[in-house]
Amino acid sequence: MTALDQLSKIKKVPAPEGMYDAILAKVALPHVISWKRAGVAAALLIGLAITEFYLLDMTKSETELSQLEELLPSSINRLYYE
Amino acid sequence: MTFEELYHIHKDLVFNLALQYVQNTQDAEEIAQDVFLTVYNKLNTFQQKASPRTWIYRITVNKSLDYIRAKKRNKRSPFLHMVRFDNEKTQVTPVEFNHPGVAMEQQEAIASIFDGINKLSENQKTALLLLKIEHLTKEEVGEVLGISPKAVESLFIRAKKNLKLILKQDEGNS
Repeated sequence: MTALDQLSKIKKVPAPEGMYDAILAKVALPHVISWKRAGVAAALLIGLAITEFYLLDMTKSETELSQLEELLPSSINRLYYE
Repeated sequence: MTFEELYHIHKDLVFNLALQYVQNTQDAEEIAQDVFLTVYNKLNTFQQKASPRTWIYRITVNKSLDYIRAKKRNKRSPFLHMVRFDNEKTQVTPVEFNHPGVAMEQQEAIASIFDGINKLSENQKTALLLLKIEHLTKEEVGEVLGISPKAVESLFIRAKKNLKLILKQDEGNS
């Protein structure tokens, strides 16, 4: 029997039970992920703001501070000067 | 046709074709889910130029090949694989031959044939799987791959020739 003859003897099997539910769960997943991403981004921004306002200005020299300010997003810089 | 109807008509076709590409149920199920996710998202834009069956076959072929490419990439760069978390399908762990459509006494022989098939080019592998295991006609394979039936025939002849060489070489090495 040739290799190709053997291949044509492979039987078809049914798709796993519960696959439909898994697909529907995946359809809903992108929304969950985007909420997660928004949460992580918000937490990072809050952390950055806290660091800027309460820690850095107490421990760093003026020069170091101005260097750090350049690295921070401009929106946070604006908040700092207001 | 609704998504639910499409799913129930084609679920076995999709799962079995994915199984021929990856030869294990775990990966095949992941590919099948990904295929139906694409069907769900693109159902509104699907134009009835091709039949839904051909369309779904085409998506399954592409998703299976993408999955295998991702798996190869991850094997080459295990560190990147560890830090990547943006796409579930890239999280692949090496799995053994686990094909429920193959009889117990044929497992070893067919596993070594699939080893050879996996070394063929993507197009040759696809032509071979669709013609010999899925039993599609050359015309149908041509529609799925977007090539003429004559080109399918020539792909199949080359696939057969290369597979023979690979199997002979593997036999010599063992």
